[in-house]
Amino acid sequence: VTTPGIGASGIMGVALEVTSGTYLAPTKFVPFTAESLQWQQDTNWRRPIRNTPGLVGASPGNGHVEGDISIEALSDVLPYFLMATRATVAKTGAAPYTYTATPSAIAVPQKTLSITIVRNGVTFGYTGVTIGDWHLTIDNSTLMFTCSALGTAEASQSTPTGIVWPTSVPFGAGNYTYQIPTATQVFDADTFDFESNDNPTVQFRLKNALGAQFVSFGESEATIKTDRDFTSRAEYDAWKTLTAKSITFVASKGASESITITAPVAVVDTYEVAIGGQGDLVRASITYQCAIDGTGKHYQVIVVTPTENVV
Amino acid sequence: MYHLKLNLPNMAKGAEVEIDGLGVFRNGHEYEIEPHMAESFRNSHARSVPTFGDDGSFTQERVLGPTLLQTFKDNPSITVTTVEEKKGDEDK
Repeated sequence: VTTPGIGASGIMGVALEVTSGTYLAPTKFVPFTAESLQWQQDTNWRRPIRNTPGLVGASPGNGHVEGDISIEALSDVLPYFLMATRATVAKTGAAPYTYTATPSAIAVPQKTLSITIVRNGVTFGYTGVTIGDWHLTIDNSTLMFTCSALGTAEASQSTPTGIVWPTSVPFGAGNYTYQIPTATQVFDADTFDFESNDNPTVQFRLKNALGAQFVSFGESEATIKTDRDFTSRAEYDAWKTLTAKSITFVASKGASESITITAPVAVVDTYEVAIGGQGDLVRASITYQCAIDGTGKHYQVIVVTPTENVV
Repeated sequence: MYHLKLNLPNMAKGAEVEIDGLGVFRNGHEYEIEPHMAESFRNSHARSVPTFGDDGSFTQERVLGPTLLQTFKDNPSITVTTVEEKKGDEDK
């Protein structure tokens, strides 16, 4: 028993599972801004008719893990989460290490995560965690990674000790190069939001333990949302003609640390321009759908990190 | 005094890491940890243990966290050993 605690004492750590669903203690501790991972169970509340009007009892229903995680997109942390997406992550180089995440048609991720969360000194171990819907987005000038996670099971675990925190610093103002189309830098955008939604589904099977069996991916939908100053009809007309272009967003602190997001075939899906009021800048709100290129990829994320050697 | 050695396989040699409650160190390097730093480490991991009364009130006792040796006893990547202080060190 402890006294009441606040979020500041929270700890999150991740490990790439060797056997999906089998808990591993953290190998990487993750500074995070918010989390809402929860064990969810679909209890069967029994109401058989037996001459009583009340609840008779409960029997176990399917259970799984679900929730959101928000972290700063640190170059040494991001590869761990990317490996639990539908992207296949390839590592090259050494200090700096380059991780290239390319989506593939797999049904389950390359690796699942064990995520350990300590809340007020009490430790929760979530297993079989898959990242099925995730964003790389600019929030208050910082590149953030937010995701919706699904997992197979949860259990109490021993509280981690000897915690080692990364000392890396997030990307911020002055670190960004936004290219629309690729190789042409634009200076009229103030928002960027890349989303990959692989429509994950928790899969339950008949078995002798509580929890889901695995998490499967569905169709993959990648989009980019951005707001730009409206100065010409060029992009507007490209929308009407469905003219595709490559878009690249680079967050970089030099050759040894960067995150590059590329959508090789981006097609405008929605284009909104309006005058909201006398004093409002005339701006365009644009959503791009990411289609596949000649190699079959509809996006690619390349992370260059000076330190992290993810196994 | 303690001797600290870092060998984190998931970090490049020379990469900076922060050991929770102890400070920033470089992977692959070795350090001497002064007693006051070790004490500070225990303080940073201290917790309050409440004792509840019958009327719902509670009092708290502050319990220091584990020592460096206890914390890293089974850690394959961070090794901590005790270093005997030489006689007369205190007079220097």
